Amino acid sequence: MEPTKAQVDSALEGDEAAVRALVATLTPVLHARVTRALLRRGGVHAGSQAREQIADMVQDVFVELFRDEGRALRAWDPERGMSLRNWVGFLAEQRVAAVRRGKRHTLVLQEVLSDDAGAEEAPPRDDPEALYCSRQTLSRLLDALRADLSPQGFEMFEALVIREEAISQVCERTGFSTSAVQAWSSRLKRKAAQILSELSGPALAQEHVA
Amino acid sequence: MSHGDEPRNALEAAARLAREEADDALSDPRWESYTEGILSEDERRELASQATGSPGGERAEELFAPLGDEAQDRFLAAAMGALRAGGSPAAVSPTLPGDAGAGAANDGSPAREERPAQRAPGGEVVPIGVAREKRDSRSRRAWVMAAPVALAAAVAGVFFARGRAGGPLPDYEVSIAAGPAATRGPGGDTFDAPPGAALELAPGEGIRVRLRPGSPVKGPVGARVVLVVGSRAAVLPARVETSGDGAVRVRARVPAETRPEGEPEVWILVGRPGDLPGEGELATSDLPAGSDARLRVFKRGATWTAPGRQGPGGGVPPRQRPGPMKR
Repeated sequence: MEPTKAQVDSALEGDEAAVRALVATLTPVLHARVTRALLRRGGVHAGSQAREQIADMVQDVFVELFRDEGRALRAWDPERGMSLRNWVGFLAEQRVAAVRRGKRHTLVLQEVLSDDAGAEEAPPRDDPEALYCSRQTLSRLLDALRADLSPQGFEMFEALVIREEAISQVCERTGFSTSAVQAWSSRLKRKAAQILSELSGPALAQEHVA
Repeated sequence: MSHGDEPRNALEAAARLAREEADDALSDPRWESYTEGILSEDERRELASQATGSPGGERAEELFAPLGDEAQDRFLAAAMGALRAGGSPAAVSPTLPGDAGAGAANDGSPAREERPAQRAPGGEVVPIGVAREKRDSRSRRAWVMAAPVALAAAVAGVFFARGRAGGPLPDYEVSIAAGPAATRGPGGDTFDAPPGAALELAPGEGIRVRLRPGSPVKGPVGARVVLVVGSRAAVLPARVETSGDGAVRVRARVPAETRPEGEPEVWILVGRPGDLPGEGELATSDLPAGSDARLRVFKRGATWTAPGRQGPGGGVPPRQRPGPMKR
């Protein structure tokens, strides 16, 4: 059963039975997302240590979900359309990606745009060089986007870049304004440039994302 | 860029990689069913076989296998520990995305400034969103059975969108126990109840069910435990284990937020996965009227009792031990 906001609130008020029920419900999705993320990136320990590694990571995600009075769980809003399973599943992938990057930061739940963020940037120009971006670099870029973007930010990445939805379509589906979606579009491009800069140097980053 | 075109930049190339990953064998949603322990032997073998060609796929079957009760106890302890450690959310994150109204634009864009804090009655400074969340959570304690069955319409179609995996099922022998022993201990495996005894249910406590097929079953089988009160019903959160011959064990729990009112019934559904209802709340009229060859339905009367009252010493009291289920 998909947990309700009221059930999550009960758990966060310290009701042990509610916490137990929530842990039982969320363990399978955290286990699946952590395992998949680690397997994809070759990050699983050898031999019998692997399952312990996965359990440790799942435990780590549970701590992140419940720490600071359950900040990450309180941030889940079912009215925004994402189920709790998907919310925590995304945060699990974010956590794995962050640890893989050597960044053990707290979960990214929301982002802050600078004042000029609403301005639309020029569309990306054709860039044949991108074809030579190695699969490993792209994997690292994708992981870094997962690690650094909030659930809403990654949802925008999925809509605008992965599924290539038109801005008007995203506005209609999400109820966001055109300027808000344009702000996300600009932010995603800047974020990708920043990550590539970290991965491969500033010049290459401009070449690949501008 | 259409999906078949070459990417123009690294962001698009990363998106193409994401699309490839979404289509690969590790993204099969049945892996999550496997971690939950509700996948049949046949499906597990099929999944493992499909994953063999994927990166790391040869280890998938081993690593997605359910983590078990011991790990779950560990997670519970860690979660309770993190919760008890407390900490002010205001000190950690002044902007909580649960409330876009303060500090964030209502148009859905990310917040451009931090949410203003307000002073709580006790003098503690907390973000506005947190104060409202706490107030709302108290007023929403009453659980799903008391709420309008908003999801009923969405769930109603599940019974009619039946999958075709697997053939007819034999009759099943059903044993059921409820209460603290069913929640916590091996005593919950005692199923020798007098016939017709009513189950005693309590919010936050468990229901344990054992289903034995009259003859071996081939193909996937699943089960649901449904709490029915009057015209309302809810599929309970449960851990379901299946054996290769179609036997099923279920450990379900009555949510702690359940309001113990009305005359409850527990319905056990065992069937092919495509024939079982999804999770959530539904109306009784959305449940199957009775058994058929692909979905067996067993009903058991129950009463409400206070948590922890079901039996001395954690054992299963004779009154609640199960008898034959009515069909």
